[in-house]
Order: sequence, then structure tokens, then C-alpha cells
Amino acid sequence: MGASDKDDTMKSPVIEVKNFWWQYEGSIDWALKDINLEIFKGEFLGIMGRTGAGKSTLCNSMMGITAHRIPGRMKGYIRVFGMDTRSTSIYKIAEKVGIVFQDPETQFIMTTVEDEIALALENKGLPREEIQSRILEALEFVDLDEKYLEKSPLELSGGEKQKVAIAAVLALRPEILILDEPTSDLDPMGKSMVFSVIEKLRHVQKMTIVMVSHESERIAQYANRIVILDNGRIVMEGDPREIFKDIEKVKSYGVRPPQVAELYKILTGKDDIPLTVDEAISKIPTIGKTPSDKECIARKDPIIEVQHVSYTYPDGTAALKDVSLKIYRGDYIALIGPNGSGKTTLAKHLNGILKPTKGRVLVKGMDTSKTSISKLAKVVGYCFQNPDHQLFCRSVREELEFGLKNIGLPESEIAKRVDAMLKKMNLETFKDEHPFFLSKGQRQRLAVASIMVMEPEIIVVDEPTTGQDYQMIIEMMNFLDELHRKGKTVIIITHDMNIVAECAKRVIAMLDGRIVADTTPRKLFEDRDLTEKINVEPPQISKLSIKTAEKAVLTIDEYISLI
Amino acid sequence: MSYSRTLFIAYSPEKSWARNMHPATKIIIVALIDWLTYLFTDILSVALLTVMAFTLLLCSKSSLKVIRPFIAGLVGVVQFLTITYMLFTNIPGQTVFFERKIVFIGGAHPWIWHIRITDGTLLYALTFDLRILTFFFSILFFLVSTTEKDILHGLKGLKIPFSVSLVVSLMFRSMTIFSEDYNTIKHAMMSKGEDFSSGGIARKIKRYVHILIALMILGIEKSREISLAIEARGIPLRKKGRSVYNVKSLGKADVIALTLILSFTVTSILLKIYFGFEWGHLIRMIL
Repeated sequence: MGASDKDDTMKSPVIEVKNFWWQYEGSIDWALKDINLEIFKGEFLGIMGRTGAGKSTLCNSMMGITAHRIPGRMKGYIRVFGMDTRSTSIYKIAEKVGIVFQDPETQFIMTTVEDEIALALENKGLPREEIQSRILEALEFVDLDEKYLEKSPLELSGGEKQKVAIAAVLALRPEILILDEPTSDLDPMGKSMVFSVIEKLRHVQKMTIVMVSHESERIAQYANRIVILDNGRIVMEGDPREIFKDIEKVKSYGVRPPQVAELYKILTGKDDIPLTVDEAISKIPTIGKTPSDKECIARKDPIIEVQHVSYTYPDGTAALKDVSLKIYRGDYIALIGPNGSGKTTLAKHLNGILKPTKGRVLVKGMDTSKTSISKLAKVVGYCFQNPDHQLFCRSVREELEFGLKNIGLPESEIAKRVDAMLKKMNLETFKDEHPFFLSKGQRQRLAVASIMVMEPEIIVVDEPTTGQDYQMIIEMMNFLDELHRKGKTVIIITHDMNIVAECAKRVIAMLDGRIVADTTPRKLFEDRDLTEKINVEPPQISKLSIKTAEKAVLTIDEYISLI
Repeated sequence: MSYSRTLFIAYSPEKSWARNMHPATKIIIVALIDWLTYLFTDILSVALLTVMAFTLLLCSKSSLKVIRPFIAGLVGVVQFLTITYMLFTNIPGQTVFFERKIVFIGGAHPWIWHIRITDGTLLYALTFDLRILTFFFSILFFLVSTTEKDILHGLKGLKIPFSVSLVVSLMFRSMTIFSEDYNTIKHAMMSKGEDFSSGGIARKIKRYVHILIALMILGIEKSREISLAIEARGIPLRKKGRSVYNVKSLGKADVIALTLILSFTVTSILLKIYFGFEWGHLIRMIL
């Protein structure tokens, strides 16, 4: 962060939050409690904290959405460019402030990129020529060209979708841009696209940015100031270096500190922490020993065999092209690759949800095309990314019983397994509740539990950490580790390279419907050509060790042991 | 994951005058042709409409392969209608192919099922089958030649209030989201051992109730997110002074097509009401 950047930020507050409280109607507790915050022109403010801490509520409050559209109770005030959000319409505030949400798909209203960007401009009553010039200007700013005008926003990649969402906001020429977890659903390439646009906005347009994110390393790199919320209150506020020097405190609020900062703090105990790999090179000693991988599973008699499988969707998309793969008992595999590379399609072949167009898949010798889905479900469990896609019963108990009944277990066995799972997942008190009324974390646990209760030998988990805070990620990873230790075969589909480094023993990389690498996390990160090809960014600690010793270290503990 | 991202999966991108017509013109043409099938009772008149609908489909320059997925369904409907006419109607005719009376309940008030298949029965059944084919070809013509974008631009061109076009647009969006969520929930149920290829009616109903519950929960959450996104972009449903960027106005092809279809309809109505005459009679005279 340059000195001139900092000078620009310290002029007048463009957003002033004063003694602000917000309570949703029907909720016992306040969602925001006594928030005091000033945001300055040209500043990049990062908002962090665990899921449910009040981050999105704060963003919506700054836009006046809570004051005007959401039933609830408010104390204190928020002023945006001097306009009180209570007495100013959202439409007036929207002239100055734009907001981009987490899920790009739910933000789109129109059927083409051109109409999407034009929508709010038409609302302002601008002449046709000006609308056209603003559309082109906004698209150019986010590095998209005229070819995109006629495209449906839904056929774009995740990163392109968020770029269009940002362009639709930029066309209105706002002075403040609020981004509510804009990268959590994106693959690494999408994340890079969004961050490059944000950088450009800051440096070219000197725009004020407020960004909610769990991406500590990026926020630490780009933000002037970070605010951490917990249970509706601001619990930490300061510049990134000040915030992340208190590693344990930051972790206790569900925020993952940058790896190089954590490593430095452990090694030296000092507060002048590095935030980036470049800063860390001169501060952290280089590793002296060579890291090595231990082969821990016997590579014979595969439990799953994928033989020359191709798959084409009914709309003609060839999602898998002659894929062959062997998975062994006790494997812990990370399935990685850009969005649309075929990861999920391949994983859905492993339990017979999809049947190959060509080739065959054998699960414990059973051909998935000829075996009933209930028989396969006993062997392979599949957890979907969004828990709401897999909860469809009227009570928590019924949800856990659903799969067990389908695989034909006797009532006594079903009752025994369900009781044990309710206890294990701390869901006993909610057993008669409708899953809809559980918190997001509880729904996630129930979704995983509803698969685990069938005791499958192989578990496939699709994007287990997307949009989750640090604490939830740790809980999920501990759970999967425990299953792996008990001898289960674990397959995770993920974009999160920290998870790949810390948990997986084997990595299968996919690109354009084909397997391009079957390797270990360490070899993957050390192979620059491969990481560039599949657009993967190794974790900070691996990047540091590669830069200084040309070897990829996977975890902080491993780094310390190798110095 | 890739599913079809367009509402009209059969949409043909080929350029043609039929494709370029205003969606409102197309809706009027389809509605009038379909309505006339009910006005006409003569089989040759209905056949003429079937030919008109099929010609429109050809004019859209769409490949006739689009019909293929519907053939089994169409054959089923035709068979069902023909059998229903044969078993449950008693239409007079010159030739009687089959006649039988089955007494179900005897006594003073017997319930008798009278099956009588005549040439009239078969002609009626065939006329109804041709009506179904006319509906099918005309609606398919609309689907293969119209995009969601055409409809929205068309609504703007007709100066329909913004709130209506926004609702229509959201409806298209919801259909895509709904279809993706449906598939994902179905896959999630399969991963818990639910076999969609087996089970009786009760089991199937229960299965779809489960899907409906999950869809409703997702629907509530996504509606909230979409409405928040609309609010946050400062888009009110009612606002004076909105400008329009992309519009589709009526063109030369629309004027010609509307003139032809309206003239044909009015002439057909007048001939039918005042002379009891249909186009089929004219065809017979010529032949």
C-alpha cells in the first residue's frame, strides 16, 4: 500500500455509521449492536468475521435496504454523503452507492448482458446514445468486449458473471462500491478477475470500496483498513498489519490470518508481521531440510475404476472426454480444476447419479450402469455444496432416516444409527424441528449427517468450504480427517488450495473434461506449468518455500519442522 | 455442470422473416390459427390449418429434427383420442364398421354400453387429431423462432408498463433457476438411494412432495435475494420518465402477416356464419 493511497483516504467520511443498532422482526437478539464507523473517500475497507456476524446486514444497512425494505427495529443512524438512510430513498442512495452480491446469478434480471447493464440506466431516463456509450464504457472497464453484449449472463463463467454484475453497477457511475463476498462462489481464475477489476477501480477511478470477504490474504494485501464483526459488534478495527498481528484473537473471531503472518508470529513473537510472500522472504528463515511425502495406502485392488468414460449432457455439452481413473481404499483425493472442467460431472458418475455416455464405472466391481442407485448409495455417499438442495423432509429425524429407508435397513437398525448420528452432530435437541428453521451451520451439519448415517465407504464432498468462515472450515476438515483415519475413502471437490495442501494426499486436476494431472499436492504446487494451466494459486506458505528453496511446503507446522 | 440455459430449448438461431417478426404478431397468428381449428368442423378445412401451421414451422428455417423428441408423445395422444372416439361416442355414419351392445347391469334399469364405430366416428377422430397437430406445429413455430429477449423487447415496443416486462423477465429467470434446482435436488435424493426409475404412484407422489419442499425453501431464499438485488440497484416498479434502450417495433413483415391472417380469419367467420361454408368445401369443389 503506497503512501499516496493512504493520503487519499483521509479526507471526509462518505459513510458515517453512528451508534447503529438493527434487529430483524421476530428475532430475539440484535443483528447489529452499537456500530460506530466512518468510511473515507477512496478508502478500501475490508469487513470480516464469522458467518452470521452481521456483515451482510451492515452492507444492506449502508444501502438503506434494512431501513426501507426489511421489517425490523433500528437505533442510531447511517449517513451516506450526508443523506440519512432512514429518510432517503434507496433509489437516491443507489445513485451514489452500488452493491454487488455473493451469488452472481441471483443478481441478474434481464436475458442479455446489454439489457442487464441498460436496465438501471433506462430507469434514470437517459437517452439511448448515452445508455449505449455507458454500457460500452462499463464493459471495457471490466475487460469485457462488445462480443458479450448479446450473450445471456447465465452462460458466462463465474468470474465473467461477477464482472458483468460490477459493470451493471459501474454504468451508474457510483462513488462507493460495496461488494458482499463477491468471490466466494468463484474458482481461482474468477477470483483473480474480480480482484483485478477492484484494483483498477481503486487506482483509476479512486473509488471507495467496502468489501466483505473471508479471503484474508487478499484483503490484507489490498485493504487500507479492516473491521472484524462478531455477534453484531465491531470487535477489531485497524490497518491489516495491526489486525493480523493478534493471530489468536483473529482466529477466535472466525477469521483465518495470512499464513506468512502466522508463521512469522510463531517463529519470532514479534508484531512487525509480513502480509505478503514478498515481505516474508526477508523476514522468515528459509527451510533447511527437504520436505517429503509418505505413501500411506496400498495401491492395489481399486475400489472405484473409471474406464474411458465420456459424458455428454442432453444439451450437447461434452463434459467428460475419455476419462480413466483408479481410486483406492483409503485415498484422500482433492478433485480440482476451473469451473466447467468436469469435476462435478465426474464425481456424479462415482455413485451412479449420472451414467456414462461411453465407457463404464465400476464401484467395488459393480457396473454403475447396471446397478441400482440404492445399492450404490450404500457404498458411495455424495454431499452437495448447498445444504438446502439435499434437505427435503419435514423433520431432522426424518431427514436422517430417508437414506436408511431407501437402502432397506430394518427399523431397529435405522433408529440406532439415527440416534447415534443426532448425538454425534449435536442435533439431538432439534430432532423434531423442520430443517428450514435450523441455522446455516446446523443445516450444513445435517446435510453431511444425512449422508454419513448411511455409513458409506467412500464419501464425495462437493465444495465443502465455499462461503464458510474459518471455524466452520476447520470443523468440516476435522470431520473429514476423522473419517479418513477410520479408513474411509474421501474425495473433495474444491477450489481452496489451503484445503488441498492441509488435507488431501492425492490431487486429480481436470481441465476441459479431461484429467490433466494425477499427483500429490506438493508436486502440483511445485509444477509451475501445471498450476498456470489450471489456474491454481498455491497457498502462501508453499509460494514462500518455492521462492526461497524451490520446494513446496504444505503447512505452517511442516515449515517450522524443516527450518 | 451444464444445462440448457435458454427457456426455449428448441430455439433456432437461423435468420428468416418468420424469425424476425414481432413476438406479438407471432402470438396473434398462432392464437388465430388455433382458434380457427375450433371454428372449422370440416376435416379438409382443419387439414388446411394444419398445413398452414406446418408451413410456418418450415418458414422459421428450423431443422425438422426439433419434432423428433415429441413424436412418441404425439403418437400416444393421437392413439388415445382415436380410441376414445371409437369407444365412447356414437356418431352416425354411412358405413358401420363395428357395433356391439354390452349389458353391465341387468334388471328394470339396465346400463348398456353401446360401442358403434362408423366412418363418421373415424372422421371425427381424425379431425380432432389434426387439431392437435395444428396446435403442436403452431406452438413449435413460436418456440423455435422466439427468444426471451424478443419477447421482452416486444413488450417494450408495445409500450407495455415496465412492471409487466420486469415480471415477465423475472418469470423467465425463475424458470431457469427452478429447472436447475429441480435437477440438483433430484440428484441429491438419488445420492440418498432414491431410485427414480421404480416405485408405485404413492411412492412417486411422496418423492415429488419431497422435491417440492426443497424447491419451496430454495425459492423463498432466492426470491429474497433477487428482490434485494433489484432494490439495491435502485429500480422501482413504477417510475415516470423511464427511457427505453432496446425495443422491437412492428415491421413490414408484421404488417403483411397480420393483414393476411386477419383477412383469412374474418373471411372464414363471415363464410361460416352467413353461408355455412368452409374452405374445405371449396377444396372439394376444386378437386
